[in-house]
Amino acid sequence: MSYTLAIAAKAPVVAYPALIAAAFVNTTSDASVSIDFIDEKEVDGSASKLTKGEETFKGDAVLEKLAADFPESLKEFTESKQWIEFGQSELSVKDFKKLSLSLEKLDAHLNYRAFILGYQVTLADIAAWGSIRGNAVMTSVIRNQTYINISRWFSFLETDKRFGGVLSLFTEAIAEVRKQAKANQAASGKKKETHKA
Amino acid sequence: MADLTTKFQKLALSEVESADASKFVELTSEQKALESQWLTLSSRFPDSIEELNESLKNKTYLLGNAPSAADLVVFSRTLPLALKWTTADYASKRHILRWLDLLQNTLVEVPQDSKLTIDFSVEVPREIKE
Repeated sequence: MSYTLAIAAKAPVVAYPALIAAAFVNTTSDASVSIDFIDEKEVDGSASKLTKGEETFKGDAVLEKLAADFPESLKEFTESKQWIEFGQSELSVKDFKKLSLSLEKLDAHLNYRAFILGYQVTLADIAAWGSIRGNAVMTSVIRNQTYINISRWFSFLETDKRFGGVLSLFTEAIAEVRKQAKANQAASGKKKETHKA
Repeated sequence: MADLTTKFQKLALSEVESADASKFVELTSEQKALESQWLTLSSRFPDSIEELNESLKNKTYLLGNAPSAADLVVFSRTLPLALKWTTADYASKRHILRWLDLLQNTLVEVPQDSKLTIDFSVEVPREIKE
């Protein structure tokens, strides 16, 4: 069964957790999720859409479906649920006062932990990392090591190709889509000019 | 890399001093310097134990984001000390505790009676970068 994941690159909160989850499925299972980057604010009304045969899943259901189908790649779904929720409702906010309380919680959790749950990457890390990566406010917070444990954990996972590497691919793919769109626009503009003349 | 930890067979605690360095990612010259620094400092533990904690603040492993043979050697020299620590030591040794616990659950097979038990419920004040 083939899977396709569409990601809206201009969504207010880009579905990075779903993107990273797809990368985990692709590197740790026989299945393959092909990824489409859409340079829009939404795909069919959502930040992400997963298609499996005739079925489609959107928003929260994307991560749930991938986790249900690939429990070996996306570990600890049940335990991770609260972290997925935490990522969406607390780590994605831009209001720093509210955000800082959540960051204190995560920083305290990472006091004696290298990963959020146990001793390997689970869906909890994927969800929280993706939410932080998608929050523009967080870039300087991570860089300045305002929360020492969060910065260490974040940078550690970033070196994994399914976190940092996939994000670079995403940035490159979107730049290419935009370049192409611009070229098409210029070409059609030229045509019009020729037409006029 | 985070996924590296899953690729290794756990080593017995007694074997770590003779760990095969070629099984790990090749070190940069900076990492090699850091490695020899820690091999020396760790032979004089508990001196420099605070520095170990400080060094692990922004690194998951001793030399960075990937495990190395140095992790194993320094682990075997740190664990006996850590077994004597109490929760009063948690705040100042938090990064060492995290690193020891990661290693004893991934890279090193520690006999049950010398395993470190972390009390995750101990609250310590947040660290502020100086």
